[in-house]
Amino acid sequence: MKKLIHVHLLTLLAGVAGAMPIPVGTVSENRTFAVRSGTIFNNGAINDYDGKILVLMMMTPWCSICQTNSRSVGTELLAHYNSASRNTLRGKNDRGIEVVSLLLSTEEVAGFDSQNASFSTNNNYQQWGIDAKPNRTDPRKALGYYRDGISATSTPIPVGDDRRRLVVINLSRNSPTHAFGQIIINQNTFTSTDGPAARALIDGIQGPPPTVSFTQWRSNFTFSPGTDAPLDDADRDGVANLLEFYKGSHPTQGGSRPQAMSVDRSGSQPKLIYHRAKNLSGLTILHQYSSNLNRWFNYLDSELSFNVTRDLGTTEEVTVTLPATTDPTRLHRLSVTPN
Amino acid sequence: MAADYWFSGTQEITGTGEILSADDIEIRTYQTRYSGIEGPWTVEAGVSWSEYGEDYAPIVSGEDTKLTEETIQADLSITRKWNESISGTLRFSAYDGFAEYRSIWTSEYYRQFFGDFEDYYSPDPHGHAFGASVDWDYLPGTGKAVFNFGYSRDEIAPGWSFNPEVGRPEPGRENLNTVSGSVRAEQVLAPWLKTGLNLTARKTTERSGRYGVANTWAASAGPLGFQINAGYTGESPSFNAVYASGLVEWNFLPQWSAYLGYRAYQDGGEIEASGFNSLAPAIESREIFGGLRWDRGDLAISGGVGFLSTDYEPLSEENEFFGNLYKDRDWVTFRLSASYRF
Repeated sequence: MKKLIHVHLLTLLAGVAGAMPIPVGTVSENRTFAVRSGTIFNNGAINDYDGKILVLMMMTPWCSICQTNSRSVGTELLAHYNSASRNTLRGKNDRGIEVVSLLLSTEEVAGFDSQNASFSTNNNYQQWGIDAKPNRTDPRKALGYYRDGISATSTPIPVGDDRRRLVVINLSRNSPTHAFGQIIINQNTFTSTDGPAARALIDGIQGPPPTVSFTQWRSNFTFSPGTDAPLDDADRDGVANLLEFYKGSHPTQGGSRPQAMSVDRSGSQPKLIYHRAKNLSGLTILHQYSSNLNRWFNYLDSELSFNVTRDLGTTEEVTVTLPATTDPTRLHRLSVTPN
Repeated sequence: MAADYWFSGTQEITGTGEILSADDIEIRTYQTRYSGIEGPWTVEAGVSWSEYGEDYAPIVSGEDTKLTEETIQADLSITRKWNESISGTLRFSAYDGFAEYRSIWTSEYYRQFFGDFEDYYSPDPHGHAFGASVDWDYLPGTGKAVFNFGYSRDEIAPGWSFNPEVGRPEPGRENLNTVSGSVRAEQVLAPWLKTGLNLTARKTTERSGRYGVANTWAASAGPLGFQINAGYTGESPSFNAVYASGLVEWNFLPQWSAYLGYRAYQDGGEIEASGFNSLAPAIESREIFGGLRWDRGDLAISGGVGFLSTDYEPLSEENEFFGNLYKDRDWVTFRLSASYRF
C-alpha cells in the first residue's frame, strides 16, 4: 500500500512538472465559466461567442501585476477595437469580424464582485465573470487549462504566482485562415509593448468569404421572361433554378446539369455524396429519408456528420455520414427551400 | 494689568489660518495658540483643526469620489527655567484623524478594493507624542544648545492585502512607534551673523534609523535680514533627501516688514520593497513664497502667499494605481496669522 501511494505521488509530480500552456494554434476546448448578468452569474462557455473573436483575460483581482496586465489589454486591444475612429469597423477586427471581450476573475470570492465590475467597466471589457461555476465552486479551471494544459475534468495544479493570462480565440466559422476555436494568443504577461503584435494577430483572422443570395446569383444570368423564379426551370433540364443555384450549375444552359447525389453503402454507415456551391445564403437545407416515397422524414443535424471531401473551385464535394439503419429500402433526398 | 489674567508674565494668543490648494486637493488648517509666563515657568498650548478635501480619481479600477476628512490636534508644553543658562521643557501632543492627504487617498483605494469584505474595517488614525528638551545657553546671548528627545505612537490607516490561503483581506501594520532625538546648536559669530546646526535621529518601527543634518545661517544688514538653510536626510537602504531654502526680509517701515523666500527639495523616493506599494516615488519640489508683516508690539498681523510645484518621477507599471495621487501638482498656499501679546 505504501508503494502504491508513492507511485501515485510520483505520477502527480510528473504531471505538474510536465504542465505546459496550451500551444497557440491549438483548437481550444469549449471551456466553461460564469458570466455576470445583473446581480447573478450565468453559465458561460467559449462557444457562446460563436462567430466572433474572443479576447479572454483572466485576472486575479488582488494581484497588482495581474491588474496592470489586464489594464494593458484594455488600453491596447479593447480601446483600440472599440474606438469610434474605426467607423464601420468599430468593435471589429480589420477584416470585419466582431471582437468581444470577457474579463474572468480567478478569485471566486464575492467580496471582489464590485471590484471586478468596476475594473471591467473602467478598462473597456464588455463582460466579466469568474473562472468558476456560477455557484463559485470549481475555481481556476480555465486558467489551469490555458496555463498548464490541464484537461476539463482534472483539478488544476496550484495557481502559484502566475495568476493572469490573456487568451484570444477565433470563433469565426469558415475562416480561410483560422479554425473555429483556434487559439491565437495565449500568454501570461501583457504590457503596452505587446499591443501592436497582438493587434496584428487579431487582424490577421479572416472571416468567411462573402455569401451570395439567390437574387444576387440570378442577376448574373439572362433569363427568358417569366422563367427566373426559384421553382422555374429556365433551361428545361429538369432542375429548378433554386437547385441549380445550390448545386452551382448554370440555370439557362440545359447541358449544365448538376451532378447527381450518390450513396456509398460500403461502410457500417451509409454516406451521401453530392456537390454544392460554396458560400450561399438564404437557403434551408434538409436531409430527408423515406421508405415509400410518400412520407419523408428529416434527419437531425446532430445525427449527421459533414465533411468537405473535395474542393472543386466554386463548388465542393460534400460527404454526409448518415446514421446506421436496418431499413433495406431507405431513400434519401435533399430538400432545398428559400428562407 | 497682566496679573488680572492667568499668568503674571507676558502672554500671547495667536490665531493662524492656512490654505494649501491644488486643482484636486485642498487642505485648510486653523490653529490657535496660547503662551504665558509665570516666574520661571512658561506654558504653551495649541489646538489646530484641519479639513481635507480631495478628488479621488482611480486609474485602474474604482469610482471617482470626493473625500473629506477632518483632523484635530492639541499640544501642551511646559518649560521651566532653572537658571540663566539651563531650562527644560516637557511636551505632549495628541491628534485624531489623518495626518496628511496621502493616507486619505490610499485609504480610499483600499476601501474601494476591500470594502465589500466583512473583515474590512475603516481606519481610525490617531496618535500621541511625548517629548522633552533641555536648552543650554552655554554662552548666554551668543551660544546655545538644545537637546531634544521624543517618543510618538501613531495608530495609522493600514494598507490591506488579500490572503488567498484564508480567503479574506488582512490589514498591514496598524501602529508605529517612533523614538527621536536631536541636538541643535546656535552660535552668534558676529552681531550681524548667526549660524545653527541641527542633527536629528529617528527610529520608527520596522525601519532603519533616519538621520538628518541641517545648517542655518542668518545675517542682517540694516533693514535687511537674510537666512539660508540647507540639509540632508538619509535612511537605509535607499532614502536620501536634500533641501535648501533662502529668505530675505526687509523692514521697510517702522512697523512693516516684507519677506520673500525660495525652497527646493529633492528625494529619491520613499523606501520600498519591490512590487506593489503605495509609497511615493522620487520627487522634486520648488516653492517661492512671500508676505507682509505688521507688528505694533502688542499686536502683529502677517499674511503670505506661496507657489509650490511638485514633480514626481513616473511610477512603476506595477504601482500605476497611485498615479493620480503622485501626479505633478501646482499648489498655492495662503497664510494669515494674528497674534496679541499682553
